[in-house]
Amino acid sequence: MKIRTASTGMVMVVVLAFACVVLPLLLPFDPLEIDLHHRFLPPLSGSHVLGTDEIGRDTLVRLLVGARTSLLIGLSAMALSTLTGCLTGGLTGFYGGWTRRVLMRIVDSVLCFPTIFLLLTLASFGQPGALTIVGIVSLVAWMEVSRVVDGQVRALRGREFVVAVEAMGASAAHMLLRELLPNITGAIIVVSTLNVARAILMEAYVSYLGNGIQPPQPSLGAMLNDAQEYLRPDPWLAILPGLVIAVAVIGLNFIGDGLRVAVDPRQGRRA
Amino acid sequence: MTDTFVSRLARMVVTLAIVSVTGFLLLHLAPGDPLAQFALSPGMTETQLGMIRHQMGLDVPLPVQYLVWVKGLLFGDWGRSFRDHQPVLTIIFGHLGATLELAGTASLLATWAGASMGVYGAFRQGSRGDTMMTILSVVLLSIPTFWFGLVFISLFSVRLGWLPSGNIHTVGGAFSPGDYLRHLFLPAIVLALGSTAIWSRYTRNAVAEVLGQDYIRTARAKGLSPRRIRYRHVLRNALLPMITLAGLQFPTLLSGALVTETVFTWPGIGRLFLDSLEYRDYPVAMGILMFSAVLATFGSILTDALYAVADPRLRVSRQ
Amino acid sequence: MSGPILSVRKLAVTFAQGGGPDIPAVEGASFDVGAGETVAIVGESSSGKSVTAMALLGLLPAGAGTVVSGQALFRRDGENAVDLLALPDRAMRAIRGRDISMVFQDPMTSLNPVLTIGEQIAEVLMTHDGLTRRQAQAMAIEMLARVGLRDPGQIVAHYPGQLSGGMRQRVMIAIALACRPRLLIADEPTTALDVTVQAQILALLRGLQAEMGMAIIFITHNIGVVAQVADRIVVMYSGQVVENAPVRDALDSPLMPYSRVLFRTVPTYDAVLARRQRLPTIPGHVPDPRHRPQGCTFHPRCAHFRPGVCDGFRPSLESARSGHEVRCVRWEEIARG
Repeated sequence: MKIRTASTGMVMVVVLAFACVVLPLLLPFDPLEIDLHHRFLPPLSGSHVLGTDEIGRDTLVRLLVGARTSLLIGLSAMALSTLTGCLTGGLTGFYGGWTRRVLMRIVDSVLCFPTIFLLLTLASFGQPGALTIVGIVSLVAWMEVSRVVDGQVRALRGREFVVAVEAMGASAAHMLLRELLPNITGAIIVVSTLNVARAILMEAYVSYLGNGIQPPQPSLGAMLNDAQEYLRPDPWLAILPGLVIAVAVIGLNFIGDGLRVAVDPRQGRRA
Repeated sequence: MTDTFVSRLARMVVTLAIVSVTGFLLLHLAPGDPLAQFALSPGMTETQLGMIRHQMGLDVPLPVQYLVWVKGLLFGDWGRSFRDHQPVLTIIFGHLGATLELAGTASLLATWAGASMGVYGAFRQGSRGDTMMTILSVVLLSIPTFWFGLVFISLFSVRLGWLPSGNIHTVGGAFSPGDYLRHLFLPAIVLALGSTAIWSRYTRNAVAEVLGQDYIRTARAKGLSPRRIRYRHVLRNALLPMITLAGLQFPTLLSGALVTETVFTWPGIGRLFLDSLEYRDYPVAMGILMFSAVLATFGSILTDALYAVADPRLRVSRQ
Repeated sequence: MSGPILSVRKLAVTFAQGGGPDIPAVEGASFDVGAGETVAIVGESSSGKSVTAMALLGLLPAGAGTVVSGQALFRRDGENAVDLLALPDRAMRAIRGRDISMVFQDPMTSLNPVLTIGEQIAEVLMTHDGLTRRQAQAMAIEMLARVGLRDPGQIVAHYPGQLSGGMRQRVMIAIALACRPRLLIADEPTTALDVTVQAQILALLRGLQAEMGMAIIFITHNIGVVAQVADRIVVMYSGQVVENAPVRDALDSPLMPYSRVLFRTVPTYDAVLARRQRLPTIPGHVPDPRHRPQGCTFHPRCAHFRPGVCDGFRPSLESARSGHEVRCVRWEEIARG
């Protein structure tokens, strides 16, 4: 069952990724092209397959470009937060003691903040845009990775093969990188996959609340914000971006859950 | 239970201190100026702005501002709003009720629906129903709350006209319970959706875990009825981990309330918070932040206490 | 003895696993248990002995993949025999915990950690004997006293976490015997306990058996325990009964080569009693149930293996002497030496 959902997720994500890389090149519209003669076209009207928005821009192209941005932001934020999380979690798990206590205090405190607060205040620091979002999402998301890596490293630290290598005089770096890390790649991949999903959601929230990708650049969250005003006449403007987010995030979550089973069968049976 | 109550309290103080410093720095260092609202008024001069700045206490070095603020915080004077000069605590308590009603209703709904889904799935592991529940909870967790808000509004309010699309009661109308409930319905459901998914996954795991335990086999070997096994043996044990989740849900619900209140123009703390961020109304923003941090830490202490009462294993080891 | 209270005939249990071949855990096991008799089922792990016990009580996981066949006729007091394997759920529940009870291996995990000892004993009595809570609670105290726990009045209010392993196993026994069952199935009841506590629990079981007269199916891999408690030994190997004999007969002159190795280091009944020996190890492994060898399943590990004889067809259980059955083609030759 899990395998099937995982491959379903894989298909969803690959198709979406492929569509948003290739289709914009083939469609005869530019995501920023305004056409005041054809505003609020409903889906399936002529050459605008999914209709147009309040200033006549093609919805399909904007969705695809927005999704592309979302996926890129998700991937970059994942890379950054995985790196940070592995570094901090690896160190605290390995050395324990004060390092660990300090980090855990910080993590606890950050978890006290409502996520949205962090995202919004952090967002106001930089020029709103994709890079800033990657930065702030990573700042919020690294803790999850850090916790997982910390836990795993601590669990493995006492195992025979690690103790044996240590007894043979291996350096800390060698033990961390050559012995411990390879053994927890699975767990890291799982959190990372789920983090891509989370990052995409966070981008949507931030852009929806107006602090993310700025108009006129298309973004799924911002499109939802725009659509809010036209809910009565044109609900599809709100429904479509949500569906695209859903496809991406559901797909990634399916993959993550499936991988979790592959990595830790015991956990999988319960989950 | 190596943690004594005192060390817990100490950890809580450290956490709150970190939250207060981080929050303060983030807010004050972020670009934007609380004076922006005045600067645009026609005829406003630099001197006048300076006076306002002085009255807001913004003309002293940041560490001093922090200390002044913390001192006030400790002695119950949380400052006054930069916008309307109301005391921060008055404003917070003025908006708290609406949020509690919304979040309370939502968490009741979520706990009930999620726990039922989880129990259903755990008792029929691998069945079609179980698979559907699992997929449903992934889907619920994968879609931004506000999208559900928009879709529900567009369906139930705009298209069908059954329910109002926002506010806590009909504008200009007199208060009536029916009117209030109609307004509460959509936002509460939207806010509950995400938590329902979390509850359902969590409950399913907790119950499945208990079902695999030896003592459940013992209960069956005793010839007890399935009903008795389910309620007395399985759910009693599965309840323990669920207490933890209840405590952890608090910050999540607050984050959710922030967005839901925006979508449904619900006059609660969440919207107040977003507004205060936008206007750089530091006292109000910091007040809400500290208020929720205190609630969150108390929540986790309360959770531990509840857990200790509910779990005989802990009760015993403390003796 | 007036005929067996339990007769198991051709009991077979198969687990289906998703995709792979089915796993035959028990293949055609047959044996009898007389009233008041103690039958020890002996074998290595995965020999099918625990699965047999679970199947009798209908406790195997009810997944679609589990298939139980055969017959297990059980005679309740003054009634006609019922087939345990064919009973509907409700009727089976009425038997479990009342006419047949079970004590499990690990007392640390077999009691519910959030219910008091009293509640856990009382609920059996309330379910089966229709006692009120108050009566059941009083009876629980009495049972705790009978299983040799001091301060039973205090212990009823305790939670399992407050008791030691030995005490918890006594509680398990109190639960099992509360309704005065005719048959008690004890699945390695002493394995998880300290040696001294093991002896106490065994003595307790024997004492209670003398007092209450129930029959016991004792599942174990500890030969010393077998010698102390059993009237009859059933040896199981890879899902089959390979030898079934009265205890003295089985220990003094085992016929099946497997039993011979099993009891080898403990040649006589008295020596076994004296030394409380564990099972000696036998070279090789118990075969994977999915790929059991052709012919006699023990032949790859057997010292008396004869090509063409032992690996051809599966030997059947034959009667060697009165009350002594063995599954081996060459048992006569081997016995002659």
